Amino acid sequence: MSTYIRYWLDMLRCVATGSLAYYLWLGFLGLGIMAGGVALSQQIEHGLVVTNMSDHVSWGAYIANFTYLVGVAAASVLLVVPSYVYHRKDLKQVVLIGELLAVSAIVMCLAFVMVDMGRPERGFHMLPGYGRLNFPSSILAWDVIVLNGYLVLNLHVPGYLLYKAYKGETPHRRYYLPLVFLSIAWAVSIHTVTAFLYSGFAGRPFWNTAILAPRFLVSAFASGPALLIIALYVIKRTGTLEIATSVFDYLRRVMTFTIPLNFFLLGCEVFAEFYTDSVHVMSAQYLFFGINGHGMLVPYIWSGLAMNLFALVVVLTPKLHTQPAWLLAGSAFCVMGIWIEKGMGLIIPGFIPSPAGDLVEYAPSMVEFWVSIGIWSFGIALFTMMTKAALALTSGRLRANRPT
Amino acid sequence: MWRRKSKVTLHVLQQRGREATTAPLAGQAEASPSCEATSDHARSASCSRRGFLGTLATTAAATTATTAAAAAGCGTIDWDQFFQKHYKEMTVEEKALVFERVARQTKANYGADVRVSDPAPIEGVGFAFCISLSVCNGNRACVHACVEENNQGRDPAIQYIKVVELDRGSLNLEGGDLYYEGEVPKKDKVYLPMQCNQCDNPPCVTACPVEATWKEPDGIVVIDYDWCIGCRYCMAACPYEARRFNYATPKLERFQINGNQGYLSNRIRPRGVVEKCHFCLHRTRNGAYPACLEACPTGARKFGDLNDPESEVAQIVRKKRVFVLKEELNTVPRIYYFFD
Amino acid sequence: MQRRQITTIGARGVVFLAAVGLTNCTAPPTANRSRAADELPAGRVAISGREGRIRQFPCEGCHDKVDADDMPVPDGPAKHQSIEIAHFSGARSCNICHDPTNRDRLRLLKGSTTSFDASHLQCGQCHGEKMRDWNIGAHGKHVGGWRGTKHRLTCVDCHNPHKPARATMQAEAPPAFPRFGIPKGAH
Repeated sequence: MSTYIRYWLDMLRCVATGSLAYYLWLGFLGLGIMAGGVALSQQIEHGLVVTNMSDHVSWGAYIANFTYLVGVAAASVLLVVPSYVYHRKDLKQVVLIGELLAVSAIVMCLAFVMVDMGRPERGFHMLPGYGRLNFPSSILAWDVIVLNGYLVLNLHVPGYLLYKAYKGETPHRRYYLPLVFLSIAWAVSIHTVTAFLYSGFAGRPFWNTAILAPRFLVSAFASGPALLIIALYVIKRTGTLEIATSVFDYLRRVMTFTIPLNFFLLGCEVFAEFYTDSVHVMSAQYLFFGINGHGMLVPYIWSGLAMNLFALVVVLTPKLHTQPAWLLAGSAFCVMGIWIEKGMGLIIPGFIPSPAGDLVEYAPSMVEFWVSIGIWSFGIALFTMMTKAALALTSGRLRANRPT
Repeated sequence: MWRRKSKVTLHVLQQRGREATTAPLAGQAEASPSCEATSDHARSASCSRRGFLGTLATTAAATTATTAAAAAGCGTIDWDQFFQKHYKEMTVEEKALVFERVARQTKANYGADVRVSDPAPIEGVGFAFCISLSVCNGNRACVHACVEENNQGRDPAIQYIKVVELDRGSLNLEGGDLYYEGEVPKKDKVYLPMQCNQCDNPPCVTACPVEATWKEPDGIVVIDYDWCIGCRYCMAACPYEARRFNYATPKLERFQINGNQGYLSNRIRPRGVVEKCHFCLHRTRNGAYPACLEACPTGARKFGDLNDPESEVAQIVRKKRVFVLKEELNTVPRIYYFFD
Repeated sequence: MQRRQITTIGARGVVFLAAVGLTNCTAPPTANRSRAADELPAGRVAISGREGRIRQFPCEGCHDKVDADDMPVPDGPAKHQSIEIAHFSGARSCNICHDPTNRDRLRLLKGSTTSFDASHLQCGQCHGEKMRDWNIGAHGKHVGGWRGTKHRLTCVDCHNPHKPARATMQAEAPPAFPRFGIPKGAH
């Protein structure tokens, strides 16, 4: 037990010390967290009235970010499968980073849900036993279960492996491998359930489509690798871990499949909406072209699609993706493009027009913007610190029996 | 703006374009809700109003084990309220204590003396509305009577009823207008009042992750405002745009408060929870008509027990050509529309 | 009258059949809630009376002594100048509806008479379809409650018999236009 406490203390010490760049980076994120905290205090004092959400558009930037981040969490499976199932050595080296990214993403998801709730302090009403979790009826109840389950799985596997590394012991496969396999299926389920959150409602025709779950998964497997490429490149540049080129190549190759597939599924959706031309086309009309000259999302969604197109060109062109700068730019655009497309680009049009035919637009308020910045900063800081500790442990720099 | 409650009586029918041949009926005044109308204006309750929202609260162990400070106010923490059980799990005694607590808080925060109760559903009764679209002229008397009856926040204004102005010959809501003004009915327009349909297959009840909203045996879908976590998933689920969210603490002056309050219906809602039309269950379960029906100067609204074959609604559903909104969604609404 | 959903278990139920086996389903809505014994009085329809509400009723108070000609065109009866007739165009004899021998009674087309309290019988002679709707409560307004005595207003409570078309009225205030609302049509 005392080893376990020392393990945590050592990790905390590792996280608290670092280079000037590390401190600057954390300080920068800390500023974001503080700004978010200030904005959140406003929201706590006055209520959600400080957001631009309304009875018509009852979900906004928070839920959009939540949706995107579930995809990021699910994407860690792209590293888990080849490294644990096919034992790819180069990927095994970074799989922990993927799992920690998933942990950070889930934590951010939960934070976004919390700030979106009108009565977060009543969250314990969901606790089985004390509260009344409406399972299996409510998809939100399913989501609570799968997200928290995924969080636990992704905390356990790296946690166990890192603790073993700390003690200098070989991990027992039976203590983590079954959970790894479970987490593979679970990763698919978190994003499927999140898609079902939206696609289950007949009253929202824009969301009520069977390909929403496939679209979610495919877009997650496009933006997830892109985010990993960026993260791994930064880690490589800090010199803490030597990452093989084959890792980047693998992630890029995944994107060469998923980005076109994402465009294809989006095209299917667009065809069904516009060729059918029923009254329900109005949401898609609003999203892509605007209604009566109003369309806050029109430049937004087209810029998102353009970013995805740019990313597609980069990952498909050897001349470009062999240069790190281009690959990073393509990845960054892919991350942003998908964030636009399945974040606010998916959530907001579902509410326009409202079921009573009212047309009310939405754009996040300053409070929503800063709270979102705060949560992102927190998540990135969490990822940075966890990764720093994990790399110190796996590289052997942090050991239980190391004389200090 | 303060309007007398008695406007929902027949007097009003005369004032509004009706020929002066009608005199108020005896007994009608009894049906109108009592209201301690006082012209004592503008008592700010901003500070104490926030008090009962609770202060530091343990947060959502179900999601993260973190804690968050919530709703810093000048009140103290009411742990009894914080750990209050789900309404369906309370005993009669516990309910009485809760009603008393709600009344006490309303007195403290809004200065009004109210009586909180919760009439039980009547055995064998299933409520339904029938609305004649030929008769409705879109005057919105129902909208405002509802607000006065049900203690909705006035700023930001919450209204349960939306009246959609549609082109004659079309029931496409997306072509409708909710913000029409002036003389009604306008030429070649049809007016369609929308409110909660109390669906028999309610998507909102299915959606709620904590069972804070459920369907009662008499067909009314109710919300336990003390259990709702404010996730607004039910609002996304509702195909009729019936649900409203309290983005801010409801703002009401003392004279605006209706003192006859139901726990599951028209008591003043806390901030951050969802509310909606409940067929005025604090009235209708005692035999009265809903406030919107009483206020309607045209007689377009019909209300009653669908299970009683002699009731107006049952006869209308049986004998007239009625339709429901968005029937293809299989929500099985309890509001029927018809033309005559 | 059957009020049934198309599917008995609910479409969502099919999806989660497997999960249903794991947990017990949502409790039926009756659980934990005692129903009140039905002590409310049964519904009773009372047709709103009229005679007591007409100024100067009984009419025979004057009309047993004086009466006008049958067709007082073009200006209407001298004593009832305020009456404007926009009903049943072409026929302007008061006696089509009012009994010339007993002004306290209304005359039906078939020759018999009825009281002012049953004026709906007279309207129903031509407006049979509306009468049928009114009889089942589909047309017209009820006052009181859905249980106990409800007063059913008659035709003339809402329609001036001499000019039955309903006037337009001023709509009450619309909801505030949303901050990010997109105007439709005139707005």
